[in-house]
Amino acid sequence: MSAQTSTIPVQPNAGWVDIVHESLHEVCDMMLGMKVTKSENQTVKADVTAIVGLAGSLCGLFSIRCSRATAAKLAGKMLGMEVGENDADVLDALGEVCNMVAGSFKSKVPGAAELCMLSVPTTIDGADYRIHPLRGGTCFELFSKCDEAPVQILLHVHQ
Amino acid sequence: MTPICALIVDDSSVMRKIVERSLRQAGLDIGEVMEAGNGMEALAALQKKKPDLILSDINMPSMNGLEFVKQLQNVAGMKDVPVVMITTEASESHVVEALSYGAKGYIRKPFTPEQVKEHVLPLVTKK
Repeated sequence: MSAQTSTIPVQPNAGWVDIVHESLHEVCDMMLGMKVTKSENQTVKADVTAIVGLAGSLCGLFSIRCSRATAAKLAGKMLGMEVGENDADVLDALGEVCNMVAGSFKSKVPGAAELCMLSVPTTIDGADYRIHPLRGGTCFELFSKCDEAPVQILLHVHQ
Repeated sequence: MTPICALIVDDSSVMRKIVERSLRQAGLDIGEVMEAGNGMEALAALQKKKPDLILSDINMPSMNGLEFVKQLQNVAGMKDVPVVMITTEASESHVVEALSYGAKGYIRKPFTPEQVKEHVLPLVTKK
């Protein structure tokens, strides 16, 4: 992953949660044919995680966590076919969803579209891990439902 | 008219399947579909067969899509194969860079089959 130098860091603001929601809605509507709503329930069974790194004017990481059943549902909607929870496409599809949501998000944040680069997605199979972002960062958290399937999005921004 | 042979370059196998499905939904008569997971694999695939159309992601390991399009210009007999980038990286600088290397179109992910049709159909019909 490379990023242009001499970039002015983009300052995070509370409105980003709405931009993340809008980006998830865009991806689910166009690629999955799913309706996205904000969830009151602030817990998600996080069996699988997809992460995309951000570098440049906006540094940090963008992640989506959900249950394996939800990930299989997302993969099935993307591919237009039934996908089993242990199918190899499950993690790949979640990585692509994360990649597209992160890309859509950065295109909507002034100063990030041109000067923030995305890494290729990484996926984690399992829930027994912790993310340790660098000190001084900001974390945005969003709980949503894709149709009725719960997902959690975390955006860690380094400052 | 003979069916079109397409080369789809993306590090995600799911995305390669979606792109193929979108091409078919766009009404294109797709015959053989060649697949590659990055630019290096795509260049290797081109040694075996010349496709009628190439669709490539940008963010990929080993060799990204921009480098692939750039190197494609030096591969004998491939200059006339239309390349369309399909990527989350849709900043103006990326679009300009891809077009300067010879790409004929640019589709931003997420996309609809209609957008694929709009960008790809004119390139294939022109042939």
